[in-house]
Amino acid sequence: MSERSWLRFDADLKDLTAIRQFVEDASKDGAGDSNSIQDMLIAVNEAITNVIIHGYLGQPGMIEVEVSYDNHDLVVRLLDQAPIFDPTTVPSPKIPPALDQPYLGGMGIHMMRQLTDNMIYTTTCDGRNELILIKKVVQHQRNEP
Amino acid sequence: MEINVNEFQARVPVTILHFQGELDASNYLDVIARVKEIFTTGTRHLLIDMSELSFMSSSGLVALHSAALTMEGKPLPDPEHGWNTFHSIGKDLENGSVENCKILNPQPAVSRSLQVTGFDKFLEIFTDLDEALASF
Repeated sequence: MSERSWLRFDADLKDLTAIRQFVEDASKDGAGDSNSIQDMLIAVNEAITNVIIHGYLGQPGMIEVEVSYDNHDLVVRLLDQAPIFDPTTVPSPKIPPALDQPYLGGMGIHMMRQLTDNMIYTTTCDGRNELILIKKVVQHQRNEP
Repeated sequence: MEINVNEFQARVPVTILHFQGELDASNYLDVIARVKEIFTTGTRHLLIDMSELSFMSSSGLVALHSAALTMEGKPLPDPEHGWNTFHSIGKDLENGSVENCKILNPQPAVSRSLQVTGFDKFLEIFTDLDEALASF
């Protein structure tokens, strides 16, 4: 397991840019390829946007973001204190979607599924939502300074 | 994200909206509002230049869909209604590509968002400005 990068953010749409920058910088510290990192960035952005809008409903809250590598996997772990919700239980949408699909995160969850290799949800012992996004990466030689 | 507007006279007048920066849930409503504004002032053919757009989320796709509907003179679904909006987009994806709203030079990261959601079939994408203008 490689070093982990961890940061806590306000659950605010204005912080999306900073969160993406953090995830990108932390991902590039490892050996992942740029395509995989870019896919993970999109997926993480969707997950966090859903937490802010649908989890916290625009109210103040915190989101913790942890980035690490586990062998050939880029792993991003998201923790929040919004009401308990498991996005992995949302059924895969039909493209185009059917008329009776319930209202949930919309395209965001679809993109998360398409762009990651695995999503693992749990609730922590202190009642937080934990979502782990995993992306297999093509390892490349890191440029030494 | 900055939005710059330029007018070109091709076979028909074409308005180019140039996006510079990143498009996500924090600013996608600005795009919808801007497109409505230029439609009100007479724009009927829209080319969205994404050459300097470095990121686009699903909210950006909602904005693109709204832009396409606006250019077609159709009513917009409520962008806050997530899945219902997606359903509306899905129906339009079935109907094939749009004539009056097109995309120019999306960067690879943005192309990825377009591709995984089928928007690359919904909105015509060009890599050459002259070809894009001539297509209207």
